[in-house]
Amino acid sequence: MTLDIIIQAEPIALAPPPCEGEGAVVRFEGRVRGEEKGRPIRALIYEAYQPMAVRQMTTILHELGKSHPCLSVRVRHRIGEIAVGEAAIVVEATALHRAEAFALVTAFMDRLKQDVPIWKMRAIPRES
Amino acid sequence: MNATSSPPLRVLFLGPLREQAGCPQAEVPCPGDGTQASFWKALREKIPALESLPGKLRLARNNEFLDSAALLNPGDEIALIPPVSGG
Repeated sequence: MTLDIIIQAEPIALAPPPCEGEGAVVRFEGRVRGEEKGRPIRALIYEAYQPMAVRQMTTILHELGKSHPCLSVRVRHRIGEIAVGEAAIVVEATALHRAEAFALVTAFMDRLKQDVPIWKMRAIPRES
Repeated sequence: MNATSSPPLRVLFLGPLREQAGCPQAEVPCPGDGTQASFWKALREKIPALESLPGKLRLARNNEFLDSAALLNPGDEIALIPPVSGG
């Protein structure tokens, strides 16, 4: 399983993968919602402990790949200010069949929210 | 090598913890017994603002989480990881 993991400040632009024999491409995009804790916002600010975050994501994906064998996984996570409607994260898995790709992406997001040192630092209110 | 002459621990305050600590990092003497309990005591003595730390704070070394029984070594860089919220 090939991995391609990048933490970046720029908006995420991930073109569809070239066809290399996979039967399934599953892509999850997590976007910034227009409210945080019930209040309207215009952006969220994210921060990462980058070397460890990349290492943790790599370790987690290798672990998950044993039970959900996929062909490739690409992860992009943004840091800095992310406007409402923009993607904070994109995870894309390719596999021979859809079940493995869906399972891996779902399990990865669960693990990311427990074990990857990335934080929503604060929300910028809409009125400011 | 005793605790007073050995290289200190370099402690990184990450994420929301940085604001609570009031600085991004600090040096703390490496406890003679190397235990995390002794480390926490030394850290709170140096930075009283960290007296009430988040319950699920974890330690990391060399970009890996530390088991709670792991011993700390002089000169280690220790990252304090508060609860994460990525994605």
